[in-house]
Amino acid sequence: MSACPPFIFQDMNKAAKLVSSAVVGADFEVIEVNGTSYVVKPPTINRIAGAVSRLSRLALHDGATLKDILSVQENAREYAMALSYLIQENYDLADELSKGSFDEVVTGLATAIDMISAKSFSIAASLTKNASVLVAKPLRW
Amino acid sequence: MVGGQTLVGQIVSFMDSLHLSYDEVVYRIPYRVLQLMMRDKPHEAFGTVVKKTSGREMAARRKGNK
Repeated sequence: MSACPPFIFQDMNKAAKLVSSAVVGADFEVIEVNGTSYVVKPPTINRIAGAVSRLSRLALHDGATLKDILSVQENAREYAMALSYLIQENYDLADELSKGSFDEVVTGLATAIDMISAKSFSIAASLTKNASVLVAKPLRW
Repeated sequence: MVGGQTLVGQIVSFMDSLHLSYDEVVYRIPYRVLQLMMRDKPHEAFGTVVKKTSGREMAARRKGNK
């Protein structure tokens, strides 16, 4: 059996972890606002729509990262409402989240929005595929 | 193919392709899992299979014919 570079296993492990945790529902993130920790699960369409309905009231401008875009506005109340909907599908947490610092709310919102995309899955999967071909490319004689 | 530009269009697409209910698509299954399911769903591929041949393979075949 030929030796396999360690980075291959790292990529494979990353992909396996992402997909398996998505299947069992363990792919959540923990955010901290005002000294309280909240669990954010990958948003469903309902949660996305609820958050977008609040964010659409703001005039957001372009930025390099999601955090840059969100940091332009200083309306932490709307962000807290959006984050509340992403956490528990209603706006009840908004008052509590508003007590946190602006940076905490923006970081929490950016973390939750990052979980919408399946890009990380695709990247991990393609890395695994490319790496495995490099290691065990079938030879034709 | 046109459409699927908004969330509403995508809901229909998910329901049709993955045979899921409205409740499952909108309230239960995370959006990124739905995307992954759509992308990785086994499907038929059409077209011709392109078989790449290496120079070594061609030489071996030529040698075999002699």
